[in-house]
Amino acid sequence: ISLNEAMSALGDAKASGQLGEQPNGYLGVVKSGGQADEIAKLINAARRAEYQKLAQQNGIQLSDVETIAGQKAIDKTPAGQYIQQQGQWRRK
Amino acid sequence: LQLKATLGELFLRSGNPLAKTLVQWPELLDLNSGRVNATANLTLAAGSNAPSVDLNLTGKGLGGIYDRSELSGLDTRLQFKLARQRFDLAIQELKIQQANPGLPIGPIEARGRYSASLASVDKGQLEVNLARTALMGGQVTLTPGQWDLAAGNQLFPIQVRGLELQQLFALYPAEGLAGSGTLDGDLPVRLGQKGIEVENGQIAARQPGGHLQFSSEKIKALGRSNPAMQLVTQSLEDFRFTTLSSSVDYDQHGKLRLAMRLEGQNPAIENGRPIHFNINLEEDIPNLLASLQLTDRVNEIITRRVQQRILQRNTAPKEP
Amino acid sequence: CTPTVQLAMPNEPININLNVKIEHEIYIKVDKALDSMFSESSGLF
Repeated sequence: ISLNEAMSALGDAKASGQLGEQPNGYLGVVKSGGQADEIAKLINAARRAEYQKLAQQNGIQLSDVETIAGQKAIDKTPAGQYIQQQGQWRRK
Repeated sequence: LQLKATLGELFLRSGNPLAKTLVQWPELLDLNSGRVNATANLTLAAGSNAPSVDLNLTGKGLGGIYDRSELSGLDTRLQFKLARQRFDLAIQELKIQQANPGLPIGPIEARGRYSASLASVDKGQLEVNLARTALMGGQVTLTPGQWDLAAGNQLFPIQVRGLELQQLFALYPAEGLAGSGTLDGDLPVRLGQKGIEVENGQIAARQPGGHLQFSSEKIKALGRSNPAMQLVTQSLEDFRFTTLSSSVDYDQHGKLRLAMRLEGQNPAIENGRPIHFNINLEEDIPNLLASLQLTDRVNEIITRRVQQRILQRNTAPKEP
Repeated sequence: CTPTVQLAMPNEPININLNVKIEHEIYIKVDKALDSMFSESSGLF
């Protein structure tokens, strides 16, 4: 599937509890099946490119950007969707 | 039952087995280098299930990370006694070459003791005989004394002497900020539930004063955009001050407030007509440290903890 | 020699009051940039 298709399918995949947000700024597969793995792979690649650009522009490490991104993604995850904390998936 | 154990010399580079054995190992402390020697004897009186422990430990050249500070060159000699549900920790020697939470602090030296009951570990008696550190060319010292931590927040008088503005500005993440001058101050620190706070501290530059140079493209643009600011930005481009003094307040949420008096002149402005500033300055120390740590290429462990700390700060319920 | 008359410059000080709230640029800039990435319409969140 294309990145565009992954983007449009992302919302449902999260709402149905297949995908969740991890502290490292990337999507994690909570329950694989259907295209969940494929969506996560494409979205995460796009995110990594964005993080790389930001780290480069501000002269900080990629992992620094991933850290802030992870915290923000978890913060902004709506109730009912999955987030990962200390390695455990839990519904927010 | 009497058990005498001598811990063989332990090189921490090979991982830290102590962390796995000692149940009380502080969760935020990762030691990864240096040597530790310890001798301990454990006696279990017949019929009682509470052992008494007498441990002597020396550490040489220890290094690692505590919470979000990198520690290096840590030497220590301490004695730990546990008996009848009370423990007593005597630190005969503690030297840390450098602790770096985003800015280099050290060398640090401390000597003291702490005793408390196992039931309320954080409500014990603290005695400090020596606690001081070098910082930015100066010295920061805690007045020796005794504190009963059970009696609510206590006053810890801190003295700052000989802090160099030049070094402070070199470390501070602001573009185009330089200067010179030597600061002395007194900060009454209190230990509250949620952290430390300072109320009505004082800091001031020694006579004859010093020099401030603050100019960068952003500052010049700020000056151009607003005539009132023009005088401020221009005067601070080369400001010779005779007086720099400020009150210092710091709250448990990390907010630092300085009410600063700055008197001096800029030879290029109205040929040195005196200019007096009253500046109320507010800084968020956790943000400052996070910003320093993030741009400081710190390693993985600290970065992960910066994120956890940000998470806690933002999800903590907001006080009114 | 001819005396030079120095215009007596007003010597009382210029008083300036200033309130400064410090924001940390890099931390704020990255924070803001990620805000837009983790919003509804970004497709990545």
